[in-house]
Amino acid sequence: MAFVNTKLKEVSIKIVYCGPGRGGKTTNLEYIYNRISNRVGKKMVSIQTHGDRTLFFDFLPLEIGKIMGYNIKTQLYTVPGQIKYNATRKIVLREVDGIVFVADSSLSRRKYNLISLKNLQENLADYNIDIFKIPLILQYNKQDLAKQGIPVLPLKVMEKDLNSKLKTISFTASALNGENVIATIKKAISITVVSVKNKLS
Amino acid sequence: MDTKALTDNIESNLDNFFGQDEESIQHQKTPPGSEKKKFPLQELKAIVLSLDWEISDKIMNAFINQIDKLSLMYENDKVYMAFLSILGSLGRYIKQRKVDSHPDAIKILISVFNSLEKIVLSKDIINTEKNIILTQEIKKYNSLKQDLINRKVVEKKTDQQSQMSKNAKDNETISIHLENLERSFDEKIEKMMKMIKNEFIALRKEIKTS
Repeated sequence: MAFVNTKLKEVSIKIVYCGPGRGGKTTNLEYIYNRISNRVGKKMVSIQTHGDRTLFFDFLPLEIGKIMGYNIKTQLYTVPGQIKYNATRKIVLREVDGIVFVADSSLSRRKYNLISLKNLQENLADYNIDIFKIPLILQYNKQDLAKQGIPVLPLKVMEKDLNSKLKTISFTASALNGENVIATIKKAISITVVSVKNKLS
Repeated sequence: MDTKALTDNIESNLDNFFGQDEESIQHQKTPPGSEKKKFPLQELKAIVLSLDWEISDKIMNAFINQIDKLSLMYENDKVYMAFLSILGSLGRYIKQRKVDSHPDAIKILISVFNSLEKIVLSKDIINTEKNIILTQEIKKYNSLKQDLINRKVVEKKTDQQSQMSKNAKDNETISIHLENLERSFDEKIEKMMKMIKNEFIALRKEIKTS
């Protein structure tokens, strides 16, 4: 749940990037960080990695300015995607306000997207959070692979697999090139802030 | 403020925060020539991308097979062969050690592959540039190799030290045990001496009285 400091007029919201391992969650955060690092003095924190795999989490704090007189502080996290790190994933999901689910568009990753989404649903349920009610954005990442002849899942299939029940906003993206990375986070922050405001009022 | 007005307010803030729209920066990092539908490293790239979640024998065998195929294809190109040789060596190492591989091994494998891909895709790249890229990758590979050697030495030393300390501990235990034995032996002798002395005193007394 968002942290509201009425004295300082601050609202802190937590958005977590979830999805299968090596799907591009950290790449999303790195792109966002590179885009804004010269303007915001904050550092992106990456904790414990094994090669290029996130073993613990990445953390990027953002202050996006005042909305309705409140300074909005956003904390972006990623979780490790590998199946075996579920305990860490669960800890990072605690008190989450919004989710970006980064799915891997490559054909070979289809089942891992499904496993990961199911796991997210279960982990949220443990915190009494309904996946159908929390602000959630789907991002179909690695679309650029198609240009290199690597088979990717058709958008229709990804929508059917992941979004037929959720019926949420989805973006195709290529985090490596920055395509739709900012659009995704903008939408995620926007729907999360609205949801927090509705809950509080 | 209604939801629509709030959303507009947030989105305007976010536009200011994140700056220009991303349309202009899309595809900026796409390597030249990547529009090609097929290229020789296509299958290898798919395998490199699938080195994910777990590194299985199946994936690593497919990787090594691809390296072998490409080695036949590029046997006359020294630079390509050097790249493939590094990739093959890293692939075999990762296959052998799997999750126990050095944390940088996969990172370096991907970096070497990306450099090879860059060279294969760039039509205008000159040999000097190719050699510079190759040298950088060789440096990374050698540094990994050196690190692995250092780790082995440290492991060996640690093993030796722990063996030595175990031996020292054993020796210490033995000497304590011996000391204890000696002490208890001395005590027993002393007791016996006392007993004999007392018996002598008693005997003397008996002789005197008789």
